[in-house]
Amino acid sequence: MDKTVIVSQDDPKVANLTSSSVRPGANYVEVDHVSIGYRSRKTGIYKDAVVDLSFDIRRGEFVVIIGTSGCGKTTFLEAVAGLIPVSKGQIRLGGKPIRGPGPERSLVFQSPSLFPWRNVRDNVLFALQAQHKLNAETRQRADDLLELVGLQGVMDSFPHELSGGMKQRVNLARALVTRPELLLLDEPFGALDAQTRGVMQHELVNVWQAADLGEARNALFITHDVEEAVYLADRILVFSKAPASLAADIAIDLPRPRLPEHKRSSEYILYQDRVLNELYTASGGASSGLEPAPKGVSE
Amino acid sequence: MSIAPPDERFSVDNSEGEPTEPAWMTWGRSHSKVVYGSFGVAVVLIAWQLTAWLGLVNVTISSDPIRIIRAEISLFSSGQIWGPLGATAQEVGWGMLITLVVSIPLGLILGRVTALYDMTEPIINVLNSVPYVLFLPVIIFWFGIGEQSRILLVIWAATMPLIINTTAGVRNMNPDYLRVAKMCCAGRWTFYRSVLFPATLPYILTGVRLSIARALVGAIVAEFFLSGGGLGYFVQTATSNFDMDSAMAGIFIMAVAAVVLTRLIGRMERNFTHWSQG
Repeated sequence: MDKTVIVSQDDPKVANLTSSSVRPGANYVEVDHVSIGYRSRKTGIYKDAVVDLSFDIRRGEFVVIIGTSGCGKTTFLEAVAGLIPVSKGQIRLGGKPIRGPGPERSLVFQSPSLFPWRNVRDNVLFALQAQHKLNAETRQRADDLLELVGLQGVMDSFPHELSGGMKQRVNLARALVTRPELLLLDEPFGALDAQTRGVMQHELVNVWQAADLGEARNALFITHDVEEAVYLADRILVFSKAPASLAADIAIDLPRPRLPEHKRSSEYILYQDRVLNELYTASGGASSGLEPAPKGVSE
Repeated sequence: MSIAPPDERFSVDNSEGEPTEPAWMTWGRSHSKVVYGSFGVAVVLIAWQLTAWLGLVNVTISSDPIRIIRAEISLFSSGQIWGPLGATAQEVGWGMLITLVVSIPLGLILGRVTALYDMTEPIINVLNSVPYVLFLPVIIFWFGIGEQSRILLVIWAATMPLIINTTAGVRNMNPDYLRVAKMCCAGRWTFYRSVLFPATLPYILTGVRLSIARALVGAIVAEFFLSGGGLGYFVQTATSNFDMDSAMAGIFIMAVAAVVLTRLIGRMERNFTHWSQG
């Protein structure tokens, strides 16, 4: 079981991150016949959200899970985060079953969920404070991270003074400041306008590729946006409609660094079409109202 | 834009952005509530004074603003008022201190633990609905007519609104805050101190404001029944002695204290919870 959290900048493992796509590596996340369900509090009826899911994630992979809205992908992410239990099967992290949230995982929430009574810097520091890791070095790291995500001017501002995109940057910085091994992102850019979303995707790629500040070596990203998925992923997992099961597993063999202008290139478009087709089949064709389109899926 | 209208009022040079206005107008605009409020008070006081001067009412029964001011001066210069004022302040002070220390943590816990909340909700609702003055004879029977009974009544009066507000605040907290705390692996103490308490603070301060108002009433009622000093007792004795000027002066002091305390809490609400209005 590998628990190394701190990796120095010139570590070959980190350098590896900037090279391309899927490569052989030890399994880090093992999803073993997992079903997740919940019981309605009112009616008491049990409903499956995720059924018999099995796959592995290797170290260093940026994995994107894509599926239609309400298919159970967020539920699955919450189970990996340790916020909800699985009903059947097991999710293992570095060989150990997940029993709850842990300091080696961070979640970038769908809504920024910042504490409105704390300013930007203190919101990021909360993650450190909660894990008793607050010291001069980590404070400096928080400032560096905020600078990396372009928030150097607003560190003392309060969340209600920020735009949606800026709030999500703080959300991202808060997740990265504890040096997680596994970064979980739950449709973090879903609520942003198209332009901001594009900028944020690019910045996430930058942070990911920089890796010397954000040492999350594994990322699990949830989205329903095909273009976003292809742009970010080493590997895309397509979830079927609810209850979710694994419909397709597509390796995205595109070189890094990736740049926004690549999104229009033929390779990207081909991948997008392929993912879109899988998504279309997986979600049961016309019943979902989803039609194959040249780019992106709208909500 | 480039064509100047003929009317003089429109030919103001707007190149600097906004038009200017005299300082007193700006002040009046931003303090219009204070201006109108003071005006209303002044109208009432002047009317009162006039009816007294014109002999429409008997000043020995109703007193008048000028006689109240004279009484106020003599009460303070003779030092006669400090005793009652201090006694009431002490009752309210101790009562509120105990109320804050007990009710806020209790409210936070009741809000978090659903089983405890469900257990205590009916009791708290009943205790809050029954007029607390009704418990006074029982309190006297149990604890006598000393200061502790007066403080107890203050606590009894003040504690329920604070518990209820704090609990409501916790139960209305954005569930995302809890998820963030969980994901960050925050311990229970960190969660209560750094998440739950600040998230609930707007509700808590509203509760404190209600509590203080009720604490003052509780203290005065206690002094009426458990004569032993305090402003309530002072006003009561002054009235019995047909010293209406002193009685009114005592009421006026109470009014000022109430306004000052409420304003103080209002200021705290604005300073500590500026984020919740945004």
